[in-house]
Amino acid sequence: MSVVASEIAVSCTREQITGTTELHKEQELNRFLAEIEKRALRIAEISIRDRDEALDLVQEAMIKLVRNYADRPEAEWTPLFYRILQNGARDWHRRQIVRNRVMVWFRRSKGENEDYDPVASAPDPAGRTPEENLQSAEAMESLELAVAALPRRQREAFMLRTFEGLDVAGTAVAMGCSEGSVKTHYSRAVHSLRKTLGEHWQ
Amino acid sequence: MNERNDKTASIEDEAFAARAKERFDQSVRGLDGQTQSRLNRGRHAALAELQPRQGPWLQWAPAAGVAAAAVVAVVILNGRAPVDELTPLPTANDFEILLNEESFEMLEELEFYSWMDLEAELDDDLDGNGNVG
Repeated sequence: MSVVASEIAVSCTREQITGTTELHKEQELNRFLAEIEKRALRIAEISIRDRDEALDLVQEAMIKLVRNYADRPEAEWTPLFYRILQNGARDWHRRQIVRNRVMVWFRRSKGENEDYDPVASAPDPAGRTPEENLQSAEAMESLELAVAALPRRQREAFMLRTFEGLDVAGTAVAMGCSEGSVKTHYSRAVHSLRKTLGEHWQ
Repeated sequence: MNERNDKTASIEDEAFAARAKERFDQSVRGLDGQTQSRLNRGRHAALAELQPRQGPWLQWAPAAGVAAAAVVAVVILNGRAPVDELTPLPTANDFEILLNEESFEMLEELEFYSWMDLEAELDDDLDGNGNVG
């Protein structure tokens, strides 16, 4: 009786510990994802210039992280998450290139005037010059455009180091390259952005 | 001279990065409610991956439940009237005999038929001994 009772008690305790551990892990992941998701969305959005697509990429990255790396130490989650996200953004760009090629082929059969967008071509209603625009509240938009125009590796290094605040080692893991490459890409990105945005960019 | 230039460039780079970070954080704080809601839903969908998945055999659980219920119902219904395999089932002839009018007359004259049976047995016994014709 006592042996059976003790075995049942041990079994119940194990189940409780397992359940508690899983609940704890879920809470940790929830906290981690809640903390990172907004910045991740903005980083993805800057990279692909489309919020809906960026939301899909972020959700996909969250699912892959939980599915494949939930058991890894929490300190590794951030670089792993951004590695997944960067790979997703890279695949998205590849698909866009293919899509654009197809669209260009179809557009050849249409008239040139059909590509004309009167809204996009209209002058700025506020009459601001590019210099004034840099000093306005839309400075972030300018920065986004400049970051999006960077070569991919420079863009990744700059956003992970500056926006997410990863250190060189974490950025190297996220980008899948050496720490030396991260330093080089980051330095070039900053110089390029400063040159593009000008010294008066605030 | 070069060192001073490098140091100045580095400080300016850091200042630029700090401004960029400040702008970025402002844009993160300015995310609208609908976007935040979609992020929230996406996070919960991701966390659902932690829940144990159903095995393929569990997909047949409802059908198996119905089949089991049917078997139990058949067993219960058969159990109400247990059939003795040694007892022959009543046939149509048995019912005809029971419903025959003569059968009722036989029941009324039961004593007469008992006497006839007794006489017949006595006759058989006498024939068997050979004492009487």
